[in-house]
Amino acid sequence: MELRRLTLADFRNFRGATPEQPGPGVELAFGERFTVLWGHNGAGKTNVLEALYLCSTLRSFRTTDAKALLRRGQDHARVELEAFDDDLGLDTCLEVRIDRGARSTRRSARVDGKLVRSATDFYGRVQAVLFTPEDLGILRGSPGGRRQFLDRVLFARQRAHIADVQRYEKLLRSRNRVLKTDPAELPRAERTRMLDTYDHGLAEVGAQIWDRRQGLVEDLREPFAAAFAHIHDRRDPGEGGAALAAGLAYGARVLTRESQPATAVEDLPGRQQALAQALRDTRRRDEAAGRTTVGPHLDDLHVRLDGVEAGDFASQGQARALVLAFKIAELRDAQQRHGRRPTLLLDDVSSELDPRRSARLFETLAQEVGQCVLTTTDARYIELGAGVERRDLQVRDGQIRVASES
Amino acid sequence: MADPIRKLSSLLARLPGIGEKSALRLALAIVRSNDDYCRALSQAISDVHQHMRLCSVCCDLTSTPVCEICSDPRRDAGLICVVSQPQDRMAFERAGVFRGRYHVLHGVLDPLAGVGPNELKVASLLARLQPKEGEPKEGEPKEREKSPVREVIVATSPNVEGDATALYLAKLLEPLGVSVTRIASGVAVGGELEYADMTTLHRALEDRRSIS
Repeated sequence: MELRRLTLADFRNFRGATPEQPGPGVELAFGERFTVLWGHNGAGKTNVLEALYLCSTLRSFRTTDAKALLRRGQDHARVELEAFDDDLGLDTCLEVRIDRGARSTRRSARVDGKLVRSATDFYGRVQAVLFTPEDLGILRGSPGGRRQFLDRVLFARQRAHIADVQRYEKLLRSRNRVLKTDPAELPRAERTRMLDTYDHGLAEVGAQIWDRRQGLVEDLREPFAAAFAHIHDRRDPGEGGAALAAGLAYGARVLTRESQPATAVEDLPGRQQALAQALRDTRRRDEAAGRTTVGPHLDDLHVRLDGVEAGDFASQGQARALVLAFKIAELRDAQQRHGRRPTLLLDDVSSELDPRRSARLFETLAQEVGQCVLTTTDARYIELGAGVERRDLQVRDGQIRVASES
Repeated sequence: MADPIRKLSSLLARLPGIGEKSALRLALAIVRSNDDYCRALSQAISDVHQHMRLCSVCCDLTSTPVCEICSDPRRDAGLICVVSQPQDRMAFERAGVFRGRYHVLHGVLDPLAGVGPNELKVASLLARLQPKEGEPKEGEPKEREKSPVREVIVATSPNVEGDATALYLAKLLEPLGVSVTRIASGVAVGGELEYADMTTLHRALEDRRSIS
């Protein structure tokens, strides 16, 4: 899918038709490769990325409240994306509408004018990989953030993952509720039987989740290390010639416990067995704690630099390079799987990288990325090099105008 | 409440599937209907409450102490189909495909909603599975009496709660030596495969079976 044009009407700070200015709203055209949106803070640059992400996933990456997407004082917003479908060899038009009603605000999606009732049918028609400055918090943040980060990538790879994660969460809450129930209310034998019931379900669904995350991490490991090495050039004199190797590993709580399973855990049945065993082993502890202390809801993604947990010591610039390397790996993986490169959406990517790193980053992007839309406060930060097609658009108070084109 | 129409409509609006507007429409229709209909309706409503009770065997709704199905000698007493609510039993009966008997749990296992085994008709199901003969005599080796029931089919919906209920019953009934089975789930018969959603297809693939 190649993005062509975007129309925003009463979406965030972009106005729709007015008596003074008739027409469908604010329009912009994308470059074939790089589209650079520049403007001051609050001009509406990120709103454009948000609209594109909405056309890809029907969600915003900033809010779960659909009302926040409406321009102030408006009840209806519209985002329309024209794109070229390479599979069909045809232009296609994706439209998302947000309508505030008496009770709730609804989103609806249309493809070529036809209403799409199921969100999963709309989801992923435009494949996008998004980077936002919030992603940098991933490394230093809680394991929960990293698990969500992995799951979000998996949703795009395998839609069934959503249903499994929801099922797992429900089973987990049910098990925890049984663990917390007063022993006076629930006889011992009954409690054991109910815990057996939920352990069975958790091991089954949990192993699926574990298996998919593990598979994802293994698929991304090499492209991730390669992309990081490229952005964070090893021959960089500033590093004193020291080579920093970036590593990725999935940390399953089941395997890091004292009582390790005797056999190697490598496949789905093995994982299910290991998880079932672990749940049995920790039951007494779980009963004391009143919650489940083992399972994929406690696993972690380890990002390491030269074998040391990156969250502990990576600089801001290194953290940015690591997260971007992950996104590039994701892009490359998607291309291998679907034969198509997703569109890369980069929000405020270049700040905090020194000029050399920044140049390396854009060099890498120019090689790896098909189409990319990025935002910056100053177009001079974005040095793509000669011969790379780019289209610069200036965003100012909800207006977009063409600044330059190459 | 001064306004009888509003009183009636707000009572009707408590029923499932009826919103305020529908309730008002129903209330107005009752106002406009003739006396005979109104009397019959109010009689039917109070009768339902007075006479309907749970069958002492299967816990289904019935107006007799033991329901029609449980007292029908032609129905196989060795086969029990466990459903979560009376509607499900009615669905099976409409299809006319099952010749055994039923047991209605009146809910599914869901600790998050405060529904444990005690809130369900599980004890009465257990009682039905106990051997009919008297207790083994003291001193004699304990010989397991055979349950009058050969198979329990758990026909709860294929979702988290329904699956948990089935699994729980399987674990509960295991020591009794009764075979516990679960109804199949997957692609709808007569439906088009292309319209099946991904969860259904996933399950259909996992539960595939060999032909012949």
